[in-house]
Amino acid sequence: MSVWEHVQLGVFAVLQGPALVEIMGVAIPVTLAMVAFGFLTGVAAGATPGLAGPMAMAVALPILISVFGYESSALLPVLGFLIGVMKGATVGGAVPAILFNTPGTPDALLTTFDGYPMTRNGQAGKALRIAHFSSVSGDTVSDIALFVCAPFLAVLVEAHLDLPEKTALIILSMSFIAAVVGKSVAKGLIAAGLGMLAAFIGTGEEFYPRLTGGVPVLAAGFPVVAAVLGVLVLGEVIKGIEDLMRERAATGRIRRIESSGDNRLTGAERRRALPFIANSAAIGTMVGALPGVGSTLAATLGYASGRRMQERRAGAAFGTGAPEGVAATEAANSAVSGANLIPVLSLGIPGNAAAVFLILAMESIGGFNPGPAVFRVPSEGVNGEMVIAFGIFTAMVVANLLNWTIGGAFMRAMSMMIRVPRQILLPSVLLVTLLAIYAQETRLSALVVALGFGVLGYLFRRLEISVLPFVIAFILAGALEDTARQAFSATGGDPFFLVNRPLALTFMVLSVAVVILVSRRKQETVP
Amino acid sequence: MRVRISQDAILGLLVLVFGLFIVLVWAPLDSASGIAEKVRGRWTIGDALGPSVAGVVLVVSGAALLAGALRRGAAPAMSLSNLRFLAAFLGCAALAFAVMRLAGPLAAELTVGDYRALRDEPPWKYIGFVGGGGLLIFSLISLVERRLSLARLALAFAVALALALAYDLPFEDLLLPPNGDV
Repeated sequence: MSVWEHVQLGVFAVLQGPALVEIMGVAIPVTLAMVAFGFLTGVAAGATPGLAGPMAMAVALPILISVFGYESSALLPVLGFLIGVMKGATVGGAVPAILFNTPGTPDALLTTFDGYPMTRNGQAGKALRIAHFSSVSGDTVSDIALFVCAPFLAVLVEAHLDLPEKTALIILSMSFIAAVVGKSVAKGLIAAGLGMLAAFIGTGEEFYPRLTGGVPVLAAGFPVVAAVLGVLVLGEVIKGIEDLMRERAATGRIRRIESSGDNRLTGAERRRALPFIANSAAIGTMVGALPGVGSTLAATLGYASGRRMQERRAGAAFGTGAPEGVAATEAANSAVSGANLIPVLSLGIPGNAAAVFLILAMESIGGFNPGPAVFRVPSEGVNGEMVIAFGIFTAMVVANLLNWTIGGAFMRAMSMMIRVPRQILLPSVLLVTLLAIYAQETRLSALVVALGFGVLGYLFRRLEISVLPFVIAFILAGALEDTARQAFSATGGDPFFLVNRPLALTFMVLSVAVVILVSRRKQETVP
Repeated sequence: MRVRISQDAILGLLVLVFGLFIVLVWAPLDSASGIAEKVRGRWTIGDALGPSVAGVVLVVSGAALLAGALRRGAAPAMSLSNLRFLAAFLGCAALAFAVMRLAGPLAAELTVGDYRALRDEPPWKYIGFVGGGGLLIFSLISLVERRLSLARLALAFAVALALALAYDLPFEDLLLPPNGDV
């Protein structure tokens, strides 16, 4: 079966899949409905200070798996929902930054630079509109890059990389993420080392579960959902509650923010913003394709580059309420979201927190192993994984269409979400997260484990250690060990299998070089 | 002269020692196979290799952090007040978990008998989650606001009840805590 026929099957799997409901005789396919639910949920989560896309994905994933089960037919509805959340949250994240000068995420900080001054100038509606237009444009460009690049990269990897090279590539990815995320390379490596260690507890090939000290409750290892949600979500919630407590203690009250009026965005203003959007979309897409680099760097580079463009044009200076400033930032950070799935689909390596939950969904449900084999064209019959991959692309296109059509209006309507008091929201998120973990694990001990990882996540944040290398090392450690075992066996027990083949050696040298070079850049030796 | 040691130096030292402990003690003694083993004439990677690699990563990164911190120093990131908050948070969570686990069985024991037979029946199946969850939300709101309020108490239990119903009514197969344990 040809690639084109796989594309068609993927599209049909989304558009003509089993119906969730019938509305006036028209069947609504379940994946389509889940993408729409996910998108609306994502916009609401992104627009709520204290929440974010990964948090909503984390809470939803165990519930979705419990509802849809572990059949391969569950893959597209579950992934469709998560993709909807990812895209919705990207656009929704601009709302609190623009209206309330409250960056929910680090990349949204740059949106506040011009978005909030626009709000103070009575142009909140215009700022939201330019943010939506830029965000969805950047996202669309990024998705097109994903659709084109992921299959080609996967085919290249499949053709040229054997087991030793794949082992070295996983090491390079982990080393790259540990080095570039956060302020300190050493702390990134500490997080990655601890993530690997946590993943190795209770696992292994022998009958005796390693590193358990004979404690039965550890024998099956840490539940993945409890560990990942604990570090990523509970850690953030615990820190958020403490920050609120200190804010109240310092000011005597918790900050409430007032809304502002509405403005239209003219065609001329859109045209003025287009060069900034195109420039930032290109930057965000290129940055997003690198694992772990993420939207903050993309937003920073996009904003800096846009500022230089604006200086040449003699428009309103960035930082004083320039719509182009909002456009440059939002297009760049949104362009990361599609491109970040390039390493996920072609290599099986998650590049950011949202990708972690997509990989978790794929691993939990089964029937789809992200990696080079996904895009292998079979000599006869159907490659089911390729059909799923094109189904995922279709779901992304559907989410983008929703974003272009109803995203802007829904985003502006969600500005009410900031009125939810955070001291009520955060404990409620904590309880929902525990509920979600229990949906999958159905034992209180899993909640205790999650709370333990939550405390670890809190300590990481307080000690300025990034949690992303921990989570990605935790997810990849099993694959790394399995691939290394197979490579060791396949090379006849050669202990130097990572360094005596040119490509593997190149990856290993790069793994060390990235740590040394980024350390120097961050002045690691003199923090 | 009093020597000030930065938190990063202490963290680096702790990580370094922990990494050495993994490499020299924990991984070799608590794994069924070593770094590499010969099985039926073929060499295979043993269970101790993965943890040892993680330990080496910790040793190297801990040493780098320690060296950097000793050379330059670093501003403290955590304080005793952070640890006090953490203790208070964990106290709230422990109390809530205890109520979540025990409230349903205790209520059943005091009235009609065995909880196991009732754990799928309303209102019994909601007692633990709403009791423990409501207490968790209420205690954390109170921690932030530094006051106890009846209105907040009612709100917390209303949120927990709403979550329980939103979760339980549409999805028959999903279990509320602690009904999978009892």
